[in-house]
Amino acid sequence: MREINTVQAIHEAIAEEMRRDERVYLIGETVGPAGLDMKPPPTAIWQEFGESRVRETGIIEATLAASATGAALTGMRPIVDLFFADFLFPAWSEIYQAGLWRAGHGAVEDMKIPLVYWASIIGYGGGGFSHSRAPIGNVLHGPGLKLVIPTTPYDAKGLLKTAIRDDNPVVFLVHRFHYPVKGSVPEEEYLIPFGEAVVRKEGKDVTVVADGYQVTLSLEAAEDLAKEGISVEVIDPRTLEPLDIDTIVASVKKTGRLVVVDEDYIRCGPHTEIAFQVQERIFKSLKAPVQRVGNLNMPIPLAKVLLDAALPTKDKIVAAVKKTLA
Amino acid sequence: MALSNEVLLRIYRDIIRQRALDYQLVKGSKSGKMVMWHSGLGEDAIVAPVALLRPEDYVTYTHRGTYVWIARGMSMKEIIAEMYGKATGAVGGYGGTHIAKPSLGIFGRSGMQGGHFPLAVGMGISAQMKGKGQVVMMFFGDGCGTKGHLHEAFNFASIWKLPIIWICENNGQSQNVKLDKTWAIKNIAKIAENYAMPGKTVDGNDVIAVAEAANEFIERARKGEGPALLEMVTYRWRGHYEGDPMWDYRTREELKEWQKKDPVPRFEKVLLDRGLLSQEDILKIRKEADDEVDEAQRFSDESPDPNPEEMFTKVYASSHT
Repeated sequence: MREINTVQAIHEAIAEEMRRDERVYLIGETVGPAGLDMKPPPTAIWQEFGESRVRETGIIEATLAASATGAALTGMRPIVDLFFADFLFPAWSEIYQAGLWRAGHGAVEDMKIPLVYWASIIGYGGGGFSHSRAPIGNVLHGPGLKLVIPTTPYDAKGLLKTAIRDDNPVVFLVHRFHYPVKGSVPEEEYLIPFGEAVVRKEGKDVTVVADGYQVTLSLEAAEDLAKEGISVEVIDPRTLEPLDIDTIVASVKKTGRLVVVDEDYIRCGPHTEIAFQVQERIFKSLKAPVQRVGNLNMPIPLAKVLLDAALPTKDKIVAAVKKTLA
Repeated sequence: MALSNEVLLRIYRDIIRQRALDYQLVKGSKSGKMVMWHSGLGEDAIVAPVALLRPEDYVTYTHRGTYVWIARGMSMKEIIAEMYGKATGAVGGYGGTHIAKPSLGIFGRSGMQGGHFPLAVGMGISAQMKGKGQVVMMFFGDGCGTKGHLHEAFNFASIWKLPIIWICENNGQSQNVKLDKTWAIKNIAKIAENYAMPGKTVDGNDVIAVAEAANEFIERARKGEGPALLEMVTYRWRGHYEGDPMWDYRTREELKEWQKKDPVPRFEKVLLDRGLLSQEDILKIRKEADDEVDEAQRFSDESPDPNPEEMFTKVYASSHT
């Protein structure tokens, strides 16, 4: 099977969906011929579809977000490239309202808001407090938004196609470390449904649930732990809303121990939500308190030594796993 | 293009109807069973531009929404029932003044003032890409016109020449704060030139002037010549909301002066002079509106509450493309 990287997989998904459905269009701040080194521009898409369907804009996050809602309400299917995940915040009122809109208007006439907010997590890069975030807890907290975090090129393509065809607002977050990573992606069309977690590595002693780049770190941690005879099961939920809680619960029933790893702040983050949902269902199966590994409750610092102290690392994941066995 | 007699009469009838409806909801506010009501009495000429739209056009509205709801063809029954939170309300009791009726080109109301500027940009993109000559009419008050969203939206709508008619309901009042404290300039339409689009200020209580100016901008947008800004200078008779301490921030003299400029008798005079209406017609139209309101109120009073068990089905659309 051919191998392509995550950016190429995402561009393929977008191009295929734009060919399939003329209502789909791409809009954002880096979607034109010029782009970023970490995330090459969708030049081929721009060349194929032209300016009307690939709209490059200036710095207008709120308008990017809310214009997508207005377009989606009136029958279009926009994909918004919001660039850095931190820029969900200047757009936040509009993104949050996109989630509230349908029920807020009684879902009258079965109204739909089919849109995708795509953004890139720029963590571990010295971007500082405003160019580094993984705002996962914020998205999860607002009703009505779906949240997809692919970690492989295969998942990115299949999940993005599903996101584009979903009739609801979907936040699609990709970590910059995953962009250049290659993986097997079939030539034939395929879609991946939301709400289906993947067991990235089977194990029997401790369950680690991780998302985004933390899946990569957790797998590295699991390798180290295996050398010490500790068998870790790593689960990648792929979508946090909807969340495949059943796969996670089945795993924790087996292992009795859970560590949740996510790059967002640990306070009120997805770690807390997942931990609660598990203990709510199978409290008696837990042999130890749930551990969480995330960005400490402080603004993301800049210098590497500070970053290592604040952000999740392989060693911190190892330590958390061991804590459940202490 | 001259406005047809048919359109003028339809505007008149809808002004009378939405005024009767607004009065009913002002009264109903005292019952304690209604949502917070933002009356638009006094600004009724806003019906006129809406009446000039085609069924396939899109429109956004402010928290004083009766002009748009009525002029687009919503029924008084569903409007009143919605204000009382009934299951038979326009949005099933979920929205109150956040009404939507997609089949009439009404897609809802943002909870944040200024949220419609970028929303309208999206509707404009949609209309432009479909290429069927649709336009978007976006209403905003002088209040939220100070929001940063206006700048983003006006700028990009002009760059892309989106078919949007921006209409400012300038009633000189941002909740309890007067215009001289919220705008650095006196004439809001003047900002249009910064966004490379035409701007015009009209007497917002002169129905004909408002309709003619709006019509020009609608035609222009339909031809693909881009957006424009129309400022209607008007005044609201009631407070920002029913119950607000409006005499703390304005005077009775000021209200009396503006009531002398009431758009309704001025428009009636034009229609009478042109022989389009008689005094009997006027009385008949008013009675019909009052009867319609009474019937709608009875409908609402007799309607059931929404069912909480259905709540969660409203959040997500089931996917299919």
